[in-house]
Amino acid sequence: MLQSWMERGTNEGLVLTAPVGATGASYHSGAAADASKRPQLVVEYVPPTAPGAASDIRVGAGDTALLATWNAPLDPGAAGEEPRYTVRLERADGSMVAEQETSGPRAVFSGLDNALTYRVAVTPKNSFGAGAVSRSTLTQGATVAGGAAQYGAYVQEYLDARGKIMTGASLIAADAAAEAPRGSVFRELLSAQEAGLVGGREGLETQGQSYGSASYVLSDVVVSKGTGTDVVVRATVTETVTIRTAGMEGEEQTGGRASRRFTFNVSGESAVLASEVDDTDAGLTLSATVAAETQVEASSIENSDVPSDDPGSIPLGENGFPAQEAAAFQLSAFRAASVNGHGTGNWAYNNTGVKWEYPQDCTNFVSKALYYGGGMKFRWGGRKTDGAWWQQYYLFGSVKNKSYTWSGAENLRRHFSGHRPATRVAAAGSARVGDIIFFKWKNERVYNHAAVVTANARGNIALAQHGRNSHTTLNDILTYYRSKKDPIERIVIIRPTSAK
Amino acid sequence: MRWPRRLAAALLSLGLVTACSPSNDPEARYAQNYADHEPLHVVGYPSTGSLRITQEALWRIADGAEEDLAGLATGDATASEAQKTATNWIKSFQKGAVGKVSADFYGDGVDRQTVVLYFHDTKQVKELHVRLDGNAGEDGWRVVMNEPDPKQAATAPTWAPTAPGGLDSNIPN
Repeated sequence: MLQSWMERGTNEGLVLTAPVGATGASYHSGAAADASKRPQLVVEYVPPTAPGAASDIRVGAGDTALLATWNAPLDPGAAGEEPRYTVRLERADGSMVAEQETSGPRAVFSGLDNALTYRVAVTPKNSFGAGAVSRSTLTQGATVAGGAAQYGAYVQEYLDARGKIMTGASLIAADAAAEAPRGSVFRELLSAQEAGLVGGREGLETQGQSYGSASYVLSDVVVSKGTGTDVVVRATVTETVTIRTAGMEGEEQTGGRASRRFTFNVSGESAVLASEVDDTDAGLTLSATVAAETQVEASSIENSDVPSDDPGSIPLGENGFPAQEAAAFQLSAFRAASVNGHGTGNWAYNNTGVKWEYPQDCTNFVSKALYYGGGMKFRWGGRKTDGAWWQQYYLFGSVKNKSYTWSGAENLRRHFSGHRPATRVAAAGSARVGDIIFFKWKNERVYNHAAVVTANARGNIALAQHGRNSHTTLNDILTYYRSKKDPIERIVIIRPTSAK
Repeated sequence: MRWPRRLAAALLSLGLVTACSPSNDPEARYAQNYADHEPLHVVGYPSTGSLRITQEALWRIADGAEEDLAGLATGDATASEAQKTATNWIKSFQKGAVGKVSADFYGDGVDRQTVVLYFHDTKQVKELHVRLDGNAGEDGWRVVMNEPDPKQAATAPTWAPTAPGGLDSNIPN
């Protein structure tokens, strides 16, 4: 029942505040003669309920398939329980075509008739009941010239070829493309990634490690017409990578699932894979019709349960950085099991004063919180690759070298999206201490800011950051940037689930 | 060792190296650009970075330097979009940019800022967005240039006051 106390572990306290309107403080003991003056502790029990309704259902119709995404209910109904969803595909007359259960705000239906129109109905539910149903508008698929299946096959070949470069089975992109039956489709895109892939492989070798295998499984594939003659493939990609360490038996297995979007430029019967990006529709979309501050529950920051001083925080050396740099390079990185969310949040809360190292230091700060506070482990690899995450200092800290994922918001988001076990928190109100929030502005192409959640008091999410106001709230940031033309358009909340 | 001295002497004799010659030093270039244009009247809360990139953009508009203006773009637009935006901005605002201009910097300039330009001679108003770009902001301050549509590029912000400072440089919600 006492949710915040349960979640915060052992280091809890109690804050007493004077009633609203009180002009001064007076103290009475529990044995005061006047019973009305004895202090009272009132614990309000808020009974759990069914979740609210899902919102902003977006349906992307493809060739005999469709992909639906939506925003989780603002009111999850019950603390500590993420809503699940019953997703129903209906014809225009309301009759049911198919139904499925999902744990996240995303569903794919396949085997559809391009001649018919469909809508999607989403019902959130938890252990205490089902919320209101929300429906999308009607949508209709369209046939993709050449057949949808061949584009899925292209993507699979492309991912396999990339895996071969990672493991060294193919030394360079040209080899990997030449060895694939239809390598000409993705040779150019693969070549653009060659430096990063080869750099990652060679970087791992400097640590006495190598990739044993890299495999990719596509699921929930939706192929649709894009802009002009483009064809777009949206799919869930499950990556499984094994890492060998010299002198150690067996292999460490890692990987993750990510929603990806592949765009092909098609001319006649010729197709070229032009881009692979994260499928950002899976993010939490801020409705344009609802004031930003109403999308998170608002209350005074004074009421939030901010972390207390953390006795386990890492002391800073004279150079302004944690004094334990050298230990970071040990291969014991693979021992710990998970990121300590409270450690991340407490470190961030207590160390916002740490020296800025970049003009835009937000993600460098978040990475330090994850590393020094949360215990998240380095991943070695090329500096610009999304799979890597590390920092190095030379000459007593005077020279720094960090992976792009360490210091760039979009790069770190992609790292969590496809290269590190992590979950996306479906509702802003469900954020926990240690979660990472990424922000995307409307006029900007990618996510360009990140901050650490330090408290969640009934939906009022406190943040620590290197940015405008080091201690702030999600509500404050969203409100501040609600200008007429460039508001924050989208946020993603990531909860790292494995330190490895 | 002797050849560079000879070269320097030759250049000096030709008058190519003087105290006022064009320089690759960014500070010298800035000083020269400042001297060559109308000074910008400023209201609000710029940082040195947001102010400087705004001045640079304005000077390039005034000079009609499309390539250089497009080179100030953030990575939010493609090269083609940035180029079209530069063309549009110069076409719409060059006349005003040559004259007196006021800039109202809204909010604070930690890593991004909204700027409203007031072109006094032409009575035009233009909204810009400037921000740090690149990984961790290491590419420095740039201008968001994703207005390839001429009509969009020339449109004045509906929310901005008629004169700089009218909203005390606070973004209206």
